[in-house]
Order: sequence, then structure tokens, then C-alpha cells
Amino acid sequence: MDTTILVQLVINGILLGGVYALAAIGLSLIFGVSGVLNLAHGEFLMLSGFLVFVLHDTFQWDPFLLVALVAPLFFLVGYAFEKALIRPLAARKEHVRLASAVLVTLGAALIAEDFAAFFSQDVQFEKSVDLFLPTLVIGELYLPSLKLVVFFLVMLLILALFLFLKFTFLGLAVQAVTQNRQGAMLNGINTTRINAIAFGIGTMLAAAAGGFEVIHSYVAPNIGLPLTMKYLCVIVMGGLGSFVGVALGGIIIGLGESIVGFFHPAWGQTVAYLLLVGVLLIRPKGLLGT
Amino acid sequence: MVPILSAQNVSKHFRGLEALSGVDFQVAEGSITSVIGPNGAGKTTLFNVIAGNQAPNGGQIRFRERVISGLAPNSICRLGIARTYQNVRPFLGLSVWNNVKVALLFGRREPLPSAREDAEIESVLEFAQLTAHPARKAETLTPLERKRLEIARALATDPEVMLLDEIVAGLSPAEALQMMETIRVLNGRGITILLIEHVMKAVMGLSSHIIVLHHGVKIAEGAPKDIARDQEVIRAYLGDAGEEG
Amino acid sequence: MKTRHVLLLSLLAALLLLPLVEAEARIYILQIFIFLFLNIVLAQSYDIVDGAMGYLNLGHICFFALGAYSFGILYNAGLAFPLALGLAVAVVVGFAGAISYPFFRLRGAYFALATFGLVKLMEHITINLGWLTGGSNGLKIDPADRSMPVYYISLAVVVAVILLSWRVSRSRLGLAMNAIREDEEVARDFGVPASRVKAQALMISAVFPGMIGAVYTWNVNFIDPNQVYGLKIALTPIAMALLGGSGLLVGPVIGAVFLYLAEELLWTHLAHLQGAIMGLVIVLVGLFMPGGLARLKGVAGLLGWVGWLEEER
Ligand SMILES: Nc1ncnc2c1ncn2[C@@H]1O[C@H](COP(=O)(O)OP(=O)(O)OP(=O)(O)O)[C@@H](O)[C@H]1O
Ligand SMILES: [Mg+2]
Repeated sequence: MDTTILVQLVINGILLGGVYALAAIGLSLIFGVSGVLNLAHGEFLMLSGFLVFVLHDTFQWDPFLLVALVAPLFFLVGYAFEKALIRPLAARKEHVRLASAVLVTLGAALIAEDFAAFFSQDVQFEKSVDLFLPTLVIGELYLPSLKLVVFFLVMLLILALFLFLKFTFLGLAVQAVTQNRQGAMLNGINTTRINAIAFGIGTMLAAAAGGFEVIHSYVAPNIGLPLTMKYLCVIVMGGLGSFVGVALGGIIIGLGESIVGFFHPAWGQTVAYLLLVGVLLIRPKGLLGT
Repeated sequence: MVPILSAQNVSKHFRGLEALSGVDFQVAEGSITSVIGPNGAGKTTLFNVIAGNQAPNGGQIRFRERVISGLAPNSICRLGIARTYQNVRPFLGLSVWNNVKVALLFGRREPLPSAREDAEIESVLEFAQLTAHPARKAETLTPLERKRLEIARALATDPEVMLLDEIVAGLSPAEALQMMETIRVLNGRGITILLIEHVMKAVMGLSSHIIVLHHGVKIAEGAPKDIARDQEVIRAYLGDAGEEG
Repeated sequence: MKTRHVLLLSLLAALLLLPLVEAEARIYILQIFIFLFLNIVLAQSYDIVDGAMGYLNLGHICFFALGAYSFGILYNAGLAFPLALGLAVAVVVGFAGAISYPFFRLRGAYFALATFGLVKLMEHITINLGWLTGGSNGLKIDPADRSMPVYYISLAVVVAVILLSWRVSRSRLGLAMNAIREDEEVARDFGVPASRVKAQALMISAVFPGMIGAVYTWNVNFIDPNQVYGLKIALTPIAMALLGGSGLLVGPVIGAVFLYLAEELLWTHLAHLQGAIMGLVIVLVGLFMPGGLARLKGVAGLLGWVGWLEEER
């Protein structure tokens, strides 16, 4: 096989995986801190994408600027979401809590999807921002510069999150809760508040990813749940709680989809689920987990 | 005589931490043997290894001649080793009756003919003084009743050896005396008892043999009066945790 | 005979006589009941693993879908209905047994996650194995209106799944499952062979969705991956079980009847936002009714009066 094609596929895969990684890190943060499988995660991405689209459509503002405006807004959305829908479940027995959380987040996902479909008149109606940047051609390789810019910003955001978790008091508290909830509580950390903050940050990352999606690809009302599933695959790949692992998981799935999809288009989309189930069964704690 | 339970060079570590290193001991059939040692000495870990909850990193546990380390906990229970937990763990959502019934149905070497099941559960509950409300869910029990349920559940498996992890700790003096009496009666029925205890009165009053762990190492063993005089034990253990006894 | 037994039997008799009533919309009415029965079977069998054993199997629908496809393929290969049905159920139960050991190494959220992933994985595999399944174009069997036999078979499956839940709840196996739900480690410590129990539970919970899946194909004559693996059909039975009262013998039945009728009677008539209303109901159930309808005072009292219906699994 032609190496150029392979290199091209790898590049495509990495660029694809970057955005997966961003949203997946958000979901992983939420799961790590609260233990909740947030099935509505992809919906925030979808909603934020739509918001960016609508604002861009109406005011013609720069879409990247809009992402910077919309994402912080979603911090509040995530925070409120936790407060209204997740916190009330805290006192229940573990398996009941898990079931309740699945119901609540799933129900929220259905509502979000249906409203988005209602307002855009079609579940599958794809919205994207018209933004054109020339493609860089290096030798025989094509580098879509829009995707490169997005990838660069994604990496920047991941780095920012990493620094936040490593060097701020709040970030360290978040990590403490992820590692040992009981212990963190005994050490005077307000775990209830950290839960809400984790939801806020996680949702904000999903929203940023949604903005990027609408810039370099598209969003549609029905992409939420399938995306959530894909992010779950990513975090399982990487091992819950390991950010480097999750970032890597995103890239691996991006690569898998790009390479397998090239040879067998139909199986490309299967890769993520195959990896999800496979990894869980072979290494329940993720590829990098111990 | 072959000891009913013995350990040869048993080790267990958690990442860097040596919870048990090279522990040897023997439990004589029909005895009440105690395992003592300061907090974090590795006592509960020893029970977990015996009961099959955690595989040792080295060494062997034997039940009579048979090596049992490596067996699943459910098999070990069926061989005749039943345990209680330091932090009681009743099946909270099940009735008291069913808590005992699980152990009775699954934990015995030979299944009881089904016609005798109910009578047996009743007699176990009576022994543990839990006959008042067998249909109550375990989550409604008081701490003392929960401890009794631990005993009842272990007894229902018709064990040869009972591992009791701090079953006396946390009880009032009167309740503690009662629990000690219970242990004596169990022993009188022919059940070998291995006991973890911090309450010195219970240890000294009950046991015929004492094993002392410290930082995962067996530092002494012997008859109660010898242990009470052992300098190393006093330094390691009685010095910092002995006052409560 | 006691009044309550008379009541139950008359309900059954009414359901048995229903198809004999001459009416314009007979087939339409039968189909409504057939889909109600389908939902009851899915919800009730789902709860064998969740309510009784505490494992959230988000992939329960795989049994249904596999039953539907296996039946369709075998039936098209020329097998007679009963044989194709029997083999389809065997395939499903075998599948449940095969996935049981690897999947049950996972617990809690991880188990839920893996089983959820399984739905998507199976859907994709079904789409991609076009030569066998017809891929995304779906699978057809020779079309016919089989409402009558389908109605009776579905009703029989409903009765069977309820009776079996009841049997299991009073059995050794049921007790072992309950112990695993409460604390799996302790259950093992007291002799419960947990892996075997979990495998048995999963296989039992797979029988009826497999069967009703086969009947589904026979009834609608055409299936495609989105229909049998779709998120709506995958997750509504779970919502029904939890709405009705997970862990109670007939909780899922109540939830299924309630949610299905509410949907049929109320919001399918709306032009828009049906999904949103469904979502809202699901959110409200999750938020306010961890015990479900059957544990509400009035309902519980009524069930208690009828007898054994209020029992726990
Ligand atoms: N599952 C585990 N993972 C990591 N470390 C563990 C684990 N179980 C026990 N340890 C550690 O092993 C050491 C021995 O613990 P163990 O519970 O056996 O002590 P113990 O003698 O029963 O103490 P106590 O009197 O407080 O009950 C402790 O330092 C404990 O922190
Ligand atoms: Mg201990």
C-alpha cells in the first residue's frame, strides 16, 4: 500500500480524534467526580453547535469568537443541570442511583434532541458554519487548515485543563474527589460543590467541541446520543480518570475510524463500539489503567 | 495432630505496602485463637486471605492438609470456614430470615434436606437472639442486632472454623460479656474460633493461644499470660493500643 | 375461590375473548395489545437482572433483536414457525450464556456502559453483515396478517414471563440473585457461586425477549436494524420497569401498561414534541420515583389486596 495514503489517513485520524478527545475529557471528568454516566453529554455539544450556528447566521460574528462566548455559558448550564437533576439522586442506594441517573440524563437527552429537531424542523438537518480556509498541500499530503486550527485550539484547551487540575486549588480538589470521594470529604472538601463544578467544566468542554464541530463539520439534532456513546468508548479506552489516557483514546478511535473506514467504509463507524466492548472485556480499567 | 488451619510463609502486599510478610501460624482444632496487633497490622488482611477474598502474593493457607489459598471464597465457605466482618455487612435489603437463609442454602458442605431448612433457620436465629422480627429488613436492625446477625449468618453455614473480626469491639461492657459468652458456647459446640480483637479483656479471657502481628510480621505467639509479659509485644503493641483493654 | 382470583381470571378471560369480538378496527386493536404485550415482556424480563440482581443491563434489547433476526433468517430458510421460533430462542439463550462470563466481570456503571455499547455494536454488525441480515435495507419474510396467532402467543408469553418471575423470586436462585444485588462479595463469602448465578439469571432473562422478538418479526413481516436496536425500543422497557417499580414482582408490568397507554392515548396525537414528552416523563420518573408506581401507597394497597402481586423479587 501507498505510504502517502497511510500518512494521510493517520493525519486525518489524529485531527478527527482531537475533537473526540476534548468532549470525552469533559465526560470523563464528570464520571470521575460524580460516578454518573451522563448520557446527555453529547446533547450539550449539539446544542452549543446550534447556538453557534444561529448566532453566526444572525450576526455574522466570527465563529471562533462565538465558541469563546458560548462555551463559558455552558459552564452555567452544566452547573445548573447537576444541581437540578443529579444532586437529588445522591442519597439513593448505589444501584438505584445509577439507574436513576441513567433515566434522568437519558430523558434530558431525548428532550434536547426533540426540541432541536422541532426548531430546525428535521432530526437530520445538518447545520454548519460556512467558513473557508485554504487547504495546505505539502508534497502529496492535504492538510485542511481549518481542521488544523481546530486541532490546535483543542490541544490548547486540553493543556489549559491540565494546568488547572495540576496547579489550582480547585483543580486539586477535583482530582482528590476523583481519586477518593470519602477521603476528600473527610479532608474538608465540599464534594457537593465539586460535583457541580465538574459538571460545569465538563459541559463547557463539550460545548467547545460542539462549536468546533459546527465549524469544521456539522451538527444535527440526532447526533447527541451516538456521540455520547462514542465519548464513552473513548474514556473507556483511556481508562477513567486518566486525562492523558483519554486524550490518547480519542486519537486512537479517530485513527481507527479513519483507517478502517478507508478500506471498509461500513465498518469504520463500528470501530469505536468494538473497541469499547473489547477493551472493557479485556482490560476493564482501560488500556492505560492499572 | 494436624492443625485445622495453618499458614505457611504467607505474604500480601498492596503496591509498596507489605500488609503481611512471611506469616506462619497454626490453629489447633477446637481452640479459640486470637490475632492481635495495632491498627493496620494486617489482621483483617489475614482474614481476607484465609477466606479467599484476596489471593496471597506468596505462601499457602491450609485447611487441615488441603491447600485452600487460590480457591474462590464460595468454595472456602463450603469447606467449613465462615467469617464475619469488622464493619458489619448484612444484606441490608433482605429480611433477617433471608440473610440467614442465603448462608444456610449456599454455605454448607452438605445441603440440608429442604424439610429441615426452616427449623434450622429458626434455631440459628434463636441462638443469635434474633427471633423477634425475622421478616424485618436488615437495614432496620440496631448495631448490636447487626453483630448478632453476622454471627447467625456464619453459624448457618455449619462451619468448622469461624473467623470473627472485632465482633466484640464497639459493644457496651454488658453486651461484650454476652458476646464473649456466645463465643464460648460456639466453641463448646466444637467450632474452632479465630478471633481478631482489640478488647484485651475479651482476648485474655477467651483465647487459649494468641498470635501477634505488627506491620504484617508475626512478632510473637503463645499463651495469653506469656504474651502479656512479652517485651517485644509490649513495646510494639501494648505500648500504644493496650490501654483500652 | 377468592374474589381476587376471580378478578384475575376474568381479566385473563377478557383478554382471551378479545380477538373474537367483531369490530371494524379489530386488527388495529389487536396490534395495540400485541405491542403492549411486547413492552410488558421486555420490561418484566429486563427486571430479572436489574430488580432482582442489581445489574443495569442496558443491552437487554439485544436479546429481542437477536431473536427477531434469528427467527427471520431461519424462517426464510424454510423452517416451520415453531421450529424457527425454538431455534431462535436457543440462539438467544446461547448468546446470553456466552456474553455472561466476560460481561459480568464488570460491575455498576461499567457493566451498564459495556452493555450499552453492546447494543450499538450489535446494530453495526447487523448492518454490516448484509449477506445474512439484509443490512440496513432490512429483512423481509413472506407478508401476511398473523394478528390472531400473534396475539395469543404474545399473551401466553406475558403470562409465562410473569409466572416465571414469580417462580424465580421464590427459588434458591432468586435468593442468590438478591444476595448478589445487596453485596456480591458477601454473597460469595457465604457460598453463593456468583458467576454461575449471574449467568443463569441472564439466560433466563433472555428467553422471553428472544421469543417475543421472533414473534415480532412474524407479526410485522419486516425488520431493520434501526427498528430492533433503536435507542427508543432499547431504553423504553427499562424506563417502564423503573417507572412501575423495579424489584417488585409486577412493577414492570404496571410501568409498561401505564407508559404504553399514556403514550398511545395521549401524546401520539400531538403533531410535535412527542419525544420531548417521553423524555420529560423519563426524567420525572428518575427524579421522583425511585420506588416506582407500584410502591405508591394506593397502588401497593390494591396489589396487596389481590395477593402476591406486591411481592418482591
Ligand atoms: N485493599 C487494600 N488496598 C490497599 N491497602 C490495603 C488494602 N487493605 C488493607 N490495606 C492496608 O494494609 C494494611 C493492613 O490493613 P488491615 O486492614 O489488615 O489492618 P488491621 O490489622 O485489620 O487493622 P485494624 O485494627 O485497623 O482493623 C493497612 O496499612 C491498610 O491500609
Ligand atoms: Mg481490621
